[in-house]
Amino acid sequence: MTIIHMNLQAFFPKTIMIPITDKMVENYAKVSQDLNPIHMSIDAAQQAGFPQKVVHGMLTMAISTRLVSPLLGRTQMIQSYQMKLIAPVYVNDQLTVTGSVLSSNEIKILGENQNGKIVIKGNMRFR
Amino acid sequence: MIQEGFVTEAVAIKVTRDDIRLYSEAIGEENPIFHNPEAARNAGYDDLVLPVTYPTLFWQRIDIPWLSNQSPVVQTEQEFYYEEPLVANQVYHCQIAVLKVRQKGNKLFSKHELRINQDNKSVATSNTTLMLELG
Repeated sequence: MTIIHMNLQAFFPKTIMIPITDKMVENYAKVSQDLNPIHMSIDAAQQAGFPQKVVHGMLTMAISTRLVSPLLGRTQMIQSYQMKLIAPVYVNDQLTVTGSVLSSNEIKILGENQNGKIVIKGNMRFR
Repeated sequence: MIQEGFVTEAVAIKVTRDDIRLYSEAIGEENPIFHNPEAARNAGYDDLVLPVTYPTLFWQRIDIPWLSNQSPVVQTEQEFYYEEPLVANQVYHCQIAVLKVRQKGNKLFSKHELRINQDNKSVATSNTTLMLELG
C-alpha cells in the first residue's frame, strides 16, 4: 500500500480562534473529574488570586488539537505532542491557536489570549 | 515529599467508546475517527481512536500515594509520545513514575511519566510536570 503523506506546507500556517466558555470548562471538569474550585467558582478563583475562573491546562492543550483535526485519519496521526503551559487561560478568554511548519513532519503551535499574551507553546510531530 | 524513582502499582485500563465520545465532545473534537467505529475502521484502526491528550484522564484511575496529601499543584508542562495510536476496548497496563524533581526557590517541580503498555510492550508515554509551592 502506498501511503501518501499530506504536505504540511499545504495546510499550515493556520490559525483558529476559540472563545472559551463556562460550559466548556464545566463539561471538561465533569469528564476529567477535576473539580478544583478555581475552575468552578469565580469566588474561589479570586480568593486564589485569579481574576476569573481558570481553564484546566489540559482543556487548553486538548482544544488546541482542533487545529490539526482535519488532517487525522489513515495517513496522518499524531506521534508526539509537547506543550508548555505558560500562563493561565480564563473563562471568557478568546484563545487564538496558530500552527506553523518546522519540518516535513513537525509543526510548532502557539496559543495567545485576546491581549496577545502567549499562554501555550508546543511542538507536534506526525507519523 | 516527592522523590525521583517513586512508582505506582500498574493498573489495567480499558477505555470505552462512550468515554471517548464524551471526551471528544468536551474538547470539541469532531473528526469521525473519535466518534464513529466504522469511520475509525475505514481509517485503519481497530476501534475508536483516543484523542492525543486523552491519557491524562488515566491519572484518575491510578492511586498516586505521594500526591494524595499535597497542597494544590499547578501543571506547567505536558508531553505525549506514541508508538501507536490507542484505541477503545483494549486493555492497557499503566503506571506513573517520578522521573525528576527539582527545586527553584520555593517552587518544587516534579516530572511524572505515565507508562502505557500493552502485552508487555510500551505503546505510549505521557509526561506531566507539576509545580508545587513550598510553604
